[in-house]
Amino acid sequence: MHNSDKENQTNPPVLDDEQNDALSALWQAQPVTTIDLEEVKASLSSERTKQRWYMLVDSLAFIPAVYVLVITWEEFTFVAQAMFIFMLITALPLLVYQLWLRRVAAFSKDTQTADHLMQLTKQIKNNVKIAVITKHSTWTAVLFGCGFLLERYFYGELTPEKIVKMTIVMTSISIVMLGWYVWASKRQKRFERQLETLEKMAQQR
Amino acid sequence: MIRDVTLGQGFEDVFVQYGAILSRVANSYEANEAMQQELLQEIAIAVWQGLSRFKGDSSVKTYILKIAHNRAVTHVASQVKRLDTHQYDHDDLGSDGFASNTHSPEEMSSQHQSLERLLRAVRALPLQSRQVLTLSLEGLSYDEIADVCGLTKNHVGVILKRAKQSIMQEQPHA
Repeated sequence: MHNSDKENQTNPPVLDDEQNDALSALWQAQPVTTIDLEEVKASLSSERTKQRWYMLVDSLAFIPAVYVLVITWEEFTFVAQAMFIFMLITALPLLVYQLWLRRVAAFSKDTQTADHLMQLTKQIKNNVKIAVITKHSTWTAVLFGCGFLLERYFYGELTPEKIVKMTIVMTSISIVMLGWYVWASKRQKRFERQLETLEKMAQQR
Repeated sequence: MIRDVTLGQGFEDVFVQYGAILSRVANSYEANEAMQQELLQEIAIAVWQGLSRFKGDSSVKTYILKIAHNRAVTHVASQVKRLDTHQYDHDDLGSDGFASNTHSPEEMSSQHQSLERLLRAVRALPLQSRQVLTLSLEGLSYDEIADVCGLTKNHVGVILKRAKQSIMQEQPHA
């Protein structure tokens, strides 16, 4: 094996009396589970595929908004165009961060535990922030939708039929956003509990 | 071995040689058997991934123990939603797998009880003490423990002494 494995033997032993040798022997005598390598390989492969799909879905989520923007750009007033651009600009950094997080989560690090704990804490703090942003972006999106509807009502050429359709769409969006709000709120609480656990661990250090 | 591992070969040999150590890392964080299995699987996946980036800057044993402990810390943090699995009684030790089978039933029973006490005491230790102690019980030097945990050598000595005292209170006959 490696040189330092041999060097270990020359270093002063950490526990050097009989009692500690007995403790070490007892520790190493505990029943162990055999690792199923075929299962490890299969899980790794499935995990990689899953992560790639998640990244693809995250990225594709942008496409409908961009599509609507490109197709209907000319029909929109300046206010509507500005609203759409603002929405895309605010969502882009979140997408980039989400993709970065997925990439980070996909790789295991050999950092020292102290650094790992610090990075993990930072990451979970960011997750809490993202959950809070996601939560509040739901009612902001509904508000944005209502604003867009009003903009169309005052400056667009809306027929009664179109108003009914848009109202149905807005109601559906609001219901989806309500569910999303609850989901984001649960995530926020879960990350806050994780953060609490990690901070307790860090305090013990 | 290093060359083999860095070339992406010999991963299975690493698991054959260090599989038991990885299993003991899982045991030191989780008391419930199902959770131990889950954590061990997570650790094994992380180690397998990590081995492809192994550069030989430390021993293979130190390298995989770093990855294993980091994965275990992440696992513990992510399990907060579940029941506190550390509180489960681990009542199925000793059904098989003890290193020595030359002991009498009485000795085996005594070893079983001692081991249960040891595991319970180890899991009750704060994270840092638990890591330092278990790495020491796996035969790592002060330098290697310091490298895994991100501590100074002196700090390792102090923590180990305290952890040992705490464990010895639970292991009067060890």
